[in-house]
Amino acid sequence: MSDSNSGIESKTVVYNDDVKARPAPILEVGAIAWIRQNLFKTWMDVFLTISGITIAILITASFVLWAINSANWWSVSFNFRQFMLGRYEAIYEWRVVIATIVTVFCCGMAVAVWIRKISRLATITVVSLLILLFIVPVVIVALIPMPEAFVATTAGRIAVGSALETPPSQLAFTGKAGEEITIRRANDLIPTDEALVGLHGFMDSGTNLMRTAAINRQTALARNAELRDLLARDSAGDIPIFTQNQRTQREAELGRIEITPSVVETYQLGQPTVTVTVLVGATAEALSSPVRLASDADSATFVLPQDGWYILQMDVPEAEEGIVILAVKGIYPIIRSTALAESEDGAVTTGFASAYIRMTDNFQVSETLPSIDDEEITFYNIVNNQYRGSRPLDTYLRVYLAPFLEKLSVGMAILLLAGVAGYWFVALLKRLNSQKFANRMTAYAMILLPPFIWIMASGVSIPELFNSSLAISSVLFVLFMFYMGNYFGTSLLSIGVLLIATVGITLLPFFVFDTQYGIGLLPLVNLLIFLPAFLALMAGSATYGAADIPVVRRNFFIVGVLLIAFIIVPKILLQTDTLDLNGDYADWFMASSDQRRWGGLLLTMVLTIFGIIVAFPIGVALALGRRSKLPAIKYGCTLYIELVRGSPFIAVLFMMQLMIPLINPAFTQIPGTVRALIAVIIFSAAYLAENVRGGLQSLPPGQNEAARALGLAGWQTVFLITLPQALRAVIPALVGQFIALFKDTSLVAIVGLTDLTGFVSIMTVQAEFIGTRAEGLVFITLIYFVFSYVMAYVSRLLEASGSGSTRRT
Amino acid sequence: MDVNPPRQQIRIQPPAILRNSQVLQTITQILFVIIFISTLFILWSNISATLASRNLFPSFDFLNNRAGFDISEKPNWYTPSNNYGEAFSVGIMNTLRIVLAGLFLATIIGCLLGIFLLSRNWLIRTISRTYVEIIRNTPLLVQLIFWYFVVMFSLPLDDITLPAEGIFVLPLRMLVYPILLVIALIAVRRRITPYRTAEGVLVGAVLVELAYAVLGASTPIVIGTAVIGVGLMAFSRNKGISASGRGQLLGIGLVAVGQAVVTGIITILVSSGAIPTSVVWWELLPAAYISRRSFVFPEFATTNTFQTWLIILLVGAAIGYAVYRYLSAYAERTGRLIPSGLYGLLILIVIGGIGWVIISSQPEPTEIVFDNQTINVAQAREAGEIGFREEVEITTRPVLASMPERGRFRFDIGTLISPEYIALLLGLVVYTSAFIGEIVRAGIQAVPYGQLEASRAMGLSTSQTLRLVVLPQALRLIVPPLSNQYLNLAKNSSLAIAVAFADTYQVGQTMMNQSGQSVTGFTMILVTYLTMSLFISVVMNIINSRFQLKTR
Repeated sequence: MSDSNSGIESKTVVYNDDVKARPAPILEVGAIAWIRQNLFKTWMDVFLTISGITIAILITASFVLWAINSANWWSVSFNFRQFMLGRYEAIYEWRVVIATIVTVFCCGMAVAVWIRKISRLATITVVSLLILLFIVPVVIVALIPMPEAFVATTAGRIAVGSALETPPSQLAFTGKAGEEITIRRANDLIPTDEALVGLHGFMDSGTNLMRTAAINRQTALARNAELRDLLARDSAGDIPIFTQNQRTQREAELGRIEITPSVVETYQLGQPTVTVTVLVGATAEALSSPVRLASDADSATFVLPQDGWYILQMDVPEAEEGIVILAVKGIYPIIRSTALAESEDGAVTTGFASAYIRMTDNFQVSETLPSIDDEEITFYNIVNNQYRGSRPLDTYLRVYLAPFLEKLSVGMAILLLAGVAGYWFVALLKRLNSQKFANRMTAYAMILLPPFIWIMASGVSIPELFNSSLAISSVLFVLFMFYMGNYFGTSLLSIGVLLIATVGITLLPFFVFDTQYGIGLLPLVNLLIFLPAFLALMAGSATYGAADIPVVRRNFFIVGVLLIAFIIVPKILLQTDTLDLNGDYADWFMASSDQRRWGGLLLTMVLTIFGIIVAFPIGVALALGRRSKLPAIKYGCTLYIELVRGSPFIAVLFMMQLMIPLINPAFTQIPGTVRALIAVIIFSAAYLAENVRGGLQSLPPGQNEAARALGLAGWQTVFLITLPQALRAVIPALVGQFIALFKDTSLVAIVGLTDLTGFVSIMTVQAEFIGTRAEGLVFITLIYFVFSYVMAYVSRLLEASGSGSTRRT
Repeated sequence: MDVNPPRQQIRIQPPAILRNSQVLQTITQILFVIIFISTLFILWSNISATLASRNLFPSFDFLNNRAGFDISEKPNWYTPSNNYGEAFSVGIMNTLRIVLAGLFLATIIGCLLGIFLLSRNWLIRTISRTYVEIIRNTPLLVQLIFWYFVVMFSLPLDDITLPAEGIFVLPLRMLVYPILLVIALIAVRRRITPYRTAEGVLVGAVLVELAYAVLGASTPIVIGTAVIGVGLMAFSRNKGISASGRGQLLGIGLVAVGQAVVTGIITILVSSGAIPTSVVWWELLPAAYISRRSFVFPEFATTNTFQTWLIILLVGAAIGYAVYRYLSAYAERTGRLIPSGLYGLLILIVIGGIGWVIISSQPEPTEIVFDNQTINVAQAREAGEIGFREEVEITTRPVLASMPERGRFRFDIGTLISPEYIALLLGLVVYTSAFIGEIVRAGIQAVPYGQLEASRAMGLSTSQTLRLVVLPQALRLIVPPLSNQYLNLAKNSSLAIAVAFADTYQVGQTMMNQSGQSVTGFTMILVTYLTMSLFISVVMNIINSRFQLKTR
């Protein structure tokens, strides 16, 4: 065998060099191919792509240019707290902060349990964004200097057209210890009219008058030249440019245009010499001897010794004519915020108090404005000294963006940490115990969260605490009767306990609170407690003898002990005089916040969250009622649902604002926010009912029939079989409803509440923020968008993760 | 040890009548009704007692009282001395104006958006997706405030004219290109020329224009392009080149020759004076004036003969519809493809046109009474005293149109629309169209891809696939959520109050504030909106039932 092979030389030659891999045609692979395929496939595509690019660039560019060059973002950053909380009491603010942190913590837990996996990309994006949030402001502050402020001064008056201005020789401003004030003449910045037009920075009204005059002159010059050119071309060519009418108009306009002489020359800008010095506000003593600024190279520098008010003194010799514009580094606009001064707990007003806040860094001075001869000195206030002119990018970053990011960064970091902590907490629970345990803990946390938020936000007074303990004991009593039925059946003992305890609980206010509270409602309360307790007893006795006895015994005793505790503890506290209901300790537990003061995002969130939560059981009941076989209930529920769904939300909202006080004189005390909440509940209950009904209808009838065949009672079928499945099926619809409601709460602005939308209207009325509506709208749009979009996104994740589905794969 | 010892218990059985489920159900219902009615009764008695203590017992009598407030958007007859009822009816009319226009525009823009969302063009898809997400996730109220207080307020006080008044030079030479393009498209479709001829026409247009721009449109150049064109056309008959290449060459040649010929003819005609200059350049009048105070559009006035013409139109529509139904049935029966809709429309247009001609050819009246003055038409026409308003009375044409014309203080002629109306309409349309776009996208996407493939395999054209296969199935899913969006739009129109547009709700609220009749006022507002919702639901249900699967 081997011989035969060895004789033949196999010649297999592979020409590796000849078969060269040629590059794929450049038009068929890579980015170019993608562009050809996706953007320029057909003539229609080319047209669409080009117009799409044009529109997108136009819109984006005009927005970005507006945002950087002319938008006054300071209105947003200064009012940030109001946007978030409205006029919520400052001393209780920590409670909302804690509630927010806890909420985010619970959200972290929920993410860990229901979404399970977070993509790495999302994590990296969020963390790097946060790091950027910290780094960017620091870099900006380090690299970019603050812009200069311009102050015009003269020995006489500034008269431009009909406007007349007497620049003050003394100008008050605030400063921090160690800050440097550098003053020089701005002549090199404004040698000509053209330069004056392009001037930008914080300007006082004198400087602005000069600038406006220069702008008007430039505009007139440009229009004049344009019109002359057009008219000349019109009469020269064979084909005219203007109609006869237009030509007459243009000629008339040309005749009207009046060209004023150069502003710089007319007002002798920069001619006079000026002597400047800085005085301490309180004592009016000069920091150093006055400095005479005679030439453009001269500059005066002053170092401020302490925080507080200072006065810039500028003197132009009487003999010298003209106006000089000073460029000052270190003086920034100040806002005077006058508020009702409040006592510690925010309840009593003690008069007015003014605080002076520097716009650029929120440096605050509470000293009174310095005055000479009992006359307050003009201070560098924001209303007259706004940033004017087209703003360059660096100023936008330094003055507007950096302070805002600084404000955001800490809060965002804390929230993110809370979320991560929640996420890891669940991971820890899983490791220590089990997935099931972690799930259950998260569910408990989510259930307890809303009452917690409400208590933290609105506070709880002692009477309210007692009332709620009474309410809780009623619920416990119903539960107690259920286990009693479980344990003893429908025996004489159970019936006896039921009857005696019902009367007992009704009479509790007399024994525990020593008040007459509730006496008018006595029969109703009896009925309200007796009926559910009786039903619970019947339901419990249905499994009498069959239930797991040790578990039943345990639950029976736990509920019993809790019931007694909720009745006895307040009684003991009262009896031992630990608490005095009407005395100083009335607000001892957690002082209640005035709901009239709620606003901003807080109000929006409270309306949405509690609107949905309270409306949910009502909605489920309505949905079940609408599907009921009993005609009275069915048509009653249908009537309610269709009536509410057919009317606009604003009508329901306004109706509640107007009607609730009419029902009972005592209801006039209900604040507008709560009335709005009631309207939200009434409104969203109807929509929720339709969603839930959709879920119920989507269930195959076999489920119901099978449950009946197993011998389940009607209520058991509903609560154990149909409703859980229906609710799971409509989770996306419920989230959609939540988002819709979140957006719809903006309508409370129309009935005069200051939620996010309402606050924008209120903000733009203030003198300092006139004309900043667009900025406010952009900001709240961003908030609304982020929340709605994230909720929709989470809902999609939830759907995809299968947490909502009945069967887990 | 016995874990679960038997225990003694006394079972208390309710009497048999209470264990009868029918009896229990009846009792439950009676209880429910009692609670329901007593709650309502308590509410009603409390409210009416409170109101009565303020001398404001709810009644509808106040509707006859003088309203005393002016409405910004009103028909000519309304003045503050009209009564509340009439004021409210003005509000209802305004609501209807906004809702009808809103529904129409939102549907069209929404459908376009839905198609864009499905576009194969990545850029268009992304832009529309971004647009939809931004619009859907921000409150309508914020958008309305933006449209009104930011966009409308940033308009100048002086009118912007659209198009700007001026001279429009009609580029007669350019008209060659669209004509040639249409001819080429038809020729390609009829397989007379190789395909891509139309593409060649476009490329040729660019090339010829470039040549004219760079080298100048002098006689030698024109003749030169013509020669090159003829050469290209001849060369395109060469079978050695691919079909698409031949088409492109043919297109380029066609344009070069056509442009040269037309340029030559126009030059000769103009130089010989056969064409007056007024054909070449026109004076344009603005069709729209836009300012912060008002939007003014051309006015269309109906004249005395309009009703007659409307009747003729209706007759035409009826005949057209009958023909359409008959032809459709015929097509269904025989399987022949007949553009029945087109024929129906043609019949309507022809009958309408004939009616227009007949009515317009009636003699004009010799005398009319205008502003209590008798005017002799012929004399007045001679003296040039006939304006638009007089012309409306004189003419026998059914509809008369005119560009807006400014009077001394305001526009005398023109359809005036307030910025409030425009802002509200824009807000509602933009907001609703984003939702409709999503619905349309979802509906079309839900049609299985196999359906498209099958229809292509059967040889249906793109438009036939869309019309006969995709849309009927997509509409089945689109119509129910679409009717929800229509209801939302109708209800959202009540946000007019945010932009100070006098709709039902705004007028109603003013009425309530003035008269104090809040219960009655709310009843009227709710009844209005409920009626509107009900009407939309009924119409949409009828439409819906046409598209649903008919199962036996």
